[in-house]
Amino acid sequence: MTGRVEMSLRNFFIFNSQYGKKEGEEHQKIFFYHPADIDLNTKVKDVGLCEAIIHFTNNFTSSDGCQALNTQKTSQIFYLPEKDFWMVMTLNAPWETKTRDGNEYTEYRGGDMHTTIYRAVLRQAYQMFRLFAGTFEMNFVGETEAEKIENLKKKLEVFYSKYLLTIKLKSCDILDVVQSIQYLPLERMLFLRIHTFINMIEETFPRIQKCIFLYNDQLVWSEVSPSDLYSIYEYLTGTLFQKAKETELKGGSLKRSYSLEGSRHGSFITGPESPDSQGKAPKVFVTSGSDLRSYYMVVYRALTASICLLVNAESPPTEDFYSELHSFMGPQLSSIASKIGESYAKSATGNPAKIGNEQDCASPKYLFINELTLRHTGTVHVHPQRPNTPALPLFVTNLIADLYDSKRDLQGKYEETVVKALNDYWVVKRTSNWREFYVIVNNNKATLLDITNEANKLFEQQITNVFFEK
Amino acid sequence: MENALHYIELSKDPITFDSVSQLTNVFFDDSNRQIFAVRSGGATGIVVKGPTNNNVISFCMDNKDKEIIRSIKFAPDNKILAVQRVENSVEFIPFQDNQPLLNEIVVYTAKSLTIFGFVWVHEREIAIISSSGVEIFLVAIDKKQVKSMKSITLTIKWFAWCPEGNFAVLATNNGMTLNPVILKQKTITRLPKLDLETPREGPVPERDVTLGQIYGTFAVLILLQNSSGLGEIVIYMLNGPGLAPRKQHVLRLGHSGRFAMNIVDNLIVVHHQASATSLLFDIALSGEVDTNGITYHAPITPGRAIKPFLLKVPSLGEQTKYCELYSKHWVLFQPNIVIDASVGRMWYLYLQMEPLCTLITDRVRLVEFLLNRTNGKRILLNVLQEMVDSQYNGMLLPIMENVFDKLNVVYSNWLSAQLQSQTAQPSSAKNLPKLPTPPKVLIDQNDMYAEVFTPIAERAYTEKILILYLQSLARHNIDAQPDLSKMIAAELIRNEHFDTLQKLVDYALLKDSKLLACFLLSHSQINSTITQTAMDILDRLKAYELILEILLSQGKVIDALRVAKSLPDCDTISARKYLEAAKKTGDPAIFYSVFLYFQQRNYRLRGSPEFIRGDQCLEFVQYFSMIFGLKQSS
Repeated sequence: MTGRVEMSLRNFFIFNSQYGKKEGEEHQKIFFYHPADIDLNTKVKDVGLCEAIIHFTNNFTSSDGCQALNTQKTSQIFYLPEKDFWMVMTLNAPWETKTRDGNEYTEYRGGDMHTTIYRAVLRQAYQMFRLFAGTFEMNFVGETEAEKIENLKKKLEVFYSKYLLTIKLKSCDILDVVQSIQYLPLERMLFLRIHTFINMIEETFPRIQKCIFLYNDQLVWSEVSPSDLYSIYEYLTGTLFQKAKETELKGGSLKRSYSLEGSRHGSFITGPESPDSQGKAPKVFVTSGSDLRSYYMVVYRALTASICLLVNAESPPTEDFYSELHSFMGPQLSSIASKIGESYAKSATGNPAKIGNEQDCASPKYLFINELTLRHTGTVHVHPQRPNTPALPLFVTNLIADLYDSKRDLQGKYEETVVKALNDYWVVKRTSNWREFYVIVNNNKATLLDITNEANKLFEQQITNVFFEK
Repeated sequence: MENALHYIELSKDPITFDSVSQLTNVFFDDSNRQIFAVRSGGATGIVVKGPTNNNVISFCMDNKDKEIIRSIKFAPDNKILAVQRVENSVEFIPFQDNQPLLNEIVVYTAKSLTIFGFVWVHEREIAIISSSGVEIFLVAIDKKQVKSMKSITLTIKWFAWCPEGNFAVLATNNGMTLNPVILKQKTITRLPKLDLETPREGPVPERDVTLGQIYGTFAVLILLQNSSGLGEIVIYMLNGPGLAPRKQHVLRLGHSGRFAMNIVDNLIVVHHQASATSLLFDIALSGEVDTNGITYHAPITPGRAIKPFLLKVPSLGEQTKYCELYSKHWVLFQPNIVIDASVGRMWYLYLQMEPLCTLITDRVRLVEFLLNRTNGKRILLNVLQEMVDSQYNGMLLPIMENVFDKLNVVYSNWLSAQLQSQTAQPSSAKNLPKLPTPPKVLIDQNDMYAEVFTPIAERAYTEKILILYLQSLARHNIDAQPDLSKMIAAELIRNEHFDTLQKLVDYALLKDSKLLACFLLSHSQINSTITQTAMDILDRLKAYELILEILLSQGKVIDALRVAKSLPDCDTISARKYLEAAKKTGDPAIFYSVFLYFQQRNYRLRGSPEFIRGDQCLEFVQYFSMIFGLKQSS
């Protein structure tokens, strides 16, 4: 019998080597450590070891050159988000018990944990903190040095103790690295309608600076820079909308009539406090040009369309503001939502050959990433919200991560790579004009020529209207 | 008084004539727009003026033993003068050099009926309307003869005439039925009759009926009082099957008393004597619609007086005084004539658009209004310009969306009309293609670009207005043209909305063109998305030459070579160009690959890998042997 134990989070800590330099005061370096209930000595030792590794690596690379340390049983990921602040995450490798010659032994599968992917996960952990609290430096405030340290520690504790519980290590993949999002394709009049609707909101309410528009949890429109967008999108679809759904369900029949009213006119998910909403609009920090600015994040929903508004943070939005906003947006948003619904109902009946869930795993899959706009399309993730089970085996997704070389400079040059992997999997990657295209084929009798033809067929099908050397 | 806004004024140079007195009678012919001032029954002179002050005919006519003149009208060429003096007879006086030939008079006398009047329908043909019908006569002076050409028999109570389109209405059935007819040379066309609703509308007296042409359709306007005693004008449009009259509009005057109306530029101006104001109505604007499809209109703006002006008063020497407006001596003729015989003046009534623009506060209605005005374009452009410029505020966007739609409905109808006239008549040169009539006011995207959008370039909100306009164009299936596309692209780039830019191009909302692609490329250093978008456009346009140039300039020599290889003329590409670019990259591997590619090509074409003199590649051959140390077999 063989069993597999998936990877797990061993620890996660943030330290700053500028503190606790004296012997016996090393614990001062630690700003956050998870799990908290471990004895201080271990924490100090872990930090000390990391410092040593980083220090050693710096002999050969730049100051943030230290990226990961893989051992038989663990993978330790390093990330330097701000000057002197190191974030470290240690993962336990997945392992399997196997039997050979009647003896049970444990096989560690460290290779299953892709460094590039989990560095992206660590980076995302930082970016989520920055989204809700700002940079570490911004939280490093107070009268005295001790107070500053204490304030930052408190913030980190509050945020990460919750955040770490929500990380789903196993379902992370290449898209966490690229931070791209699959947008909902729309017909052009609807796109323009949404565009002008948002323009009108912003012109009518000058306090609203940026908008994000979602339909059925799928992204439709955004004015936020892609890296912030990825974090906001994760928060909205991963946390906020889930909670809102629960509230709705909990309301049950008691609120039926009320929510009927609500669904016609729309209601706030965050914003004014009401039994329906998830409380006050949270403050978020989003890059605007080269600055990080704070906004109130107001989320409003009508039918299945949601709109996330970033309101400038000079003062909390008033009840009047909310009620004007509500009466302005409600009817229009509902009408747009039902139009999108109609258009999809139409196209769904008109195009039954759509690549959907039913496709068998043998048919080729693809992933098409625009490196510049960080949008992707494809069938690698069948469901846009990324279900926990990827459609491809782990080694294939890791292979794609290998092929996606995040270090290279973006020049949009032509490139082609064909890889034959385990179990008759083939991965074809082509790059041209800042677009990356991956085709995954599973075929046990294929030759290189078959695979190229298969890939070409997909390129012809999927890449239309753009400059791409096929 | 001078500062008040007046949108109606009378012409500055009225036609002057002898005012009515014991000696002088004044007649007006609305067909020729001529004023007849008849002194002493014609004995001491008749002065005919019109349609302007410079057209004067002056003559004398002996009136010995004759009745006084009841009606007097020239034929359209002023060669025959028709005069009615008694109930049943009309005399025709030939004219030569603007003087009557009094001994060649031809007289037409009807037997036992009353002639209500006559109208010239042609230079030698006259329609005489009498109590028993209408008859068209040919007046042949040389034969001393009046010959009947066509007639209809009908018991007529009174008639009304509209010189525009030779359209008349004959009241029968004691004024309960109105019979529209068109009187032309040798023909009388009866149109479907109009039965008035009793008791509210009929019987209607002659003075309450006005005929006119509104938006190219004959209209019968009837002045009534509604149940609360307020004035109303019911408009029957002759646009049913066979030009049948249909009750379509009711103008609510909101006053009681005496009214008179003019039709100016398809607008109905209703003058109210008691309040000395004029109301303005436009039947093309929307109003309340009842279940019968009748639209009830309120005045476009509250009533305003005609602009006051000074008048010279001869009895006071050179002194002037304000002309009395809405005088009880006023007589109005269609379409826009006001005559005050007591002061001897005939004016044309005009509308002033600028004050109206201030008075109509609803922007959408104002735009609708101006789109139907003959000279509305310039004013409309000004209104639009102000709206996006000095009057701009964010709340106006929904209104602008509406306004743009109004403009583009006209625009797209015009485009499809043009398209139809082109496709319906393929190049058969025999019959010249009948061009569709252009709309009164057409604001196309070039107008918008040049007059409205260009002045607000590079403002924070400009992109939003442009997108709104683009949306409206798309909604009406109109493609954005290069100038506008370029401006939109420029604003998007300025606001760093590269993503939107790419989307708009993807959706073909900004049309692919080399011009747009080159414009984008000129901004490519700002963001790679711009280059990506430009390359996509060029690919769709199959502009591979340009793509090659761009790839080479970006140092993507291998990419360029791959594209070049797929082109039909790949064997003739300049080796020198690619080798030079490859050398410039400083990457030996690239240079090596490119060099080898061309050696292979040479071999394929000429059976030898060597470059020939014409290739001008000597320096690269040397460079190759220098870095790779390979001797070229020579």
